[in-house]
Amino acid sequence: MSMRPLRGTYHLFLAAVAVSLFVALLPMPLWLAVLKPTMLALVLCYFALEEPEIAGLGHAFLLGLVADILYGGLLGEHALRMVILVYLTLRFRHRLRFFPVWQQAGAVFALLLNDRVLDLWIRLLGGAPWPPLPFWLAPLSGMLAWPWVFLLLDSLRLRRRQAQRTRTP
Amino acid sequence: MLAGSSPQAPLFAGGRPGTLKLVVLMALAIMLMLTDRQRGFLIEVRAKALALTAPIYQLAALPALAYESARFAVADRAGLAEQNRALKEALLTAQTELTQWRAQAAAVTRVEEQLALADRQQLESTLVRIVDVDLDPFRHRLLLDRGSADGLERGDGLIDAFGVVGQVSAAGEHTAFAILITDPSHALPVEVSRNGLKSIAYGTGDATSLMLPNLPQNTELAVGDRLLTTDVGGRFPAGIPVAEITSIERPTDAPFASAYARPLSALGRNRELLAVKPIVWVGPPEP
Repeated sequence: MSMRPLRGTYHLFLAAVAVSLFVALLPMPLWLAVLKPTMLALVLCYFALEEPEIAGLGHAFLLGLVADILYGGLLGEHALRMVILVYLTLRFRHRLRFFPVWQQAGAVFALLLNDRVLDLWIRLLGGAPWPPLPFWLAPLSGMLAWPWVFLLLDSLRLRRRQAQRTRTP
Repeated sequence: MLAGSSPQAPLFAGGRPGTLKLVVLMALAIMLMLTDRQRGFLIEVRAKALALTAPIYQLAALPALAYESARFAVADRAGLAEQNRALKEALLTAQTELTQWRAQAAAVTRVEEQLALADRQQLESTLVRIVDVDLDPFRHRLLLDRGSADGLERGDGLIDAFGVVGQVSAAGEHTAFAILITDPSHALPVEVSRNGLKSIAYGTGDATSLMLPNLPQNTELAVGDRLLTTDVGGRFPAGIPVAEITSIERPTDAPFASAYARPLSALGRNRELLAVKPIVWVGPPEP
């Protein structure tokens, strides 16, 4: 098990992160935009579980900064949130990995909710008023999206890993 | 895999969660946030970074753009004719108002000249479009398709046909972020058109209201009063409509009254905005 992360997996990680950052920017009607989960959080969560060599705290910090620049928020906001999210995931990784997917989704909900509370805290410190109730929908939709994100990334990752292994015996 | 972290690159590689690393990175992030709030050197960093991210926004806005043009292509004649008629009507109204406005302005200039008070000012403006990307549904920010290459700068005012929309908060080479006047971190000096009373309108985070706190209990403000920009802040030319007072609260247990106002502009629902430069003073008239 203690193998260096494969090159293909690293590329998959970067691609998944790029897609998740990009998807968040796509314009959509307000009712849908409110439901949109933090895709970056889901992707980082997955890689922290399955490839902790790649999704470490440093990467979480740097990618969080990229998100901050991309979304025009306070610099360091996403960085802080993603670092804490990845830390918690890595911390409970050994337990979470052996959960069935639905139970994992529950854990992801808790992680995303924690992330949302942090988000709220940063907003309130910045002088924003208490956000409307739909603010809390995103962790819920994130939980519902988790099994699909998990299955998709898992199949992509395992396929790459297999392809690489057959090439270098 | 006991000690998962690789020995080289300890800070930015993966591995087992190190509490020290967590604390260091958290402190770093918090320091960044504080620095960003204090508006120091990070403005430059952000402007540089915006140049890199500009193509991504263009790409993300493509689907909406395609939808828009497709809708335009298949829009029925009747709809277009109706729109055309409405626009013509609006133009006519605007022109009528403009004529009256010019007459009034001429009168004002005459009076000011008589008083030798005429401050000559120039109004520089650029037409900008809003790029349709989703930054955060719970924040009052916009992305614009012009940047420093087109003369946009941090602090430029944004107005639409009905009033003040916001300000440019960061300008990259070809894109810029804007903050709406309804954002809680935005404050705008205003003047009541009826009696010249000055105050400051703060954003509330609610797209339909601005707040004027700390008014004297006996304030002359009344519901329906129009708020205009003043040249106090130096960011907007004076006299642009901002909002209309909707309610005034005079709590009996507090020393100050506060008022709420509804912004007059369409606040980004229309795609084109005008960016105006902070006022350039040409100087006082020769004695």
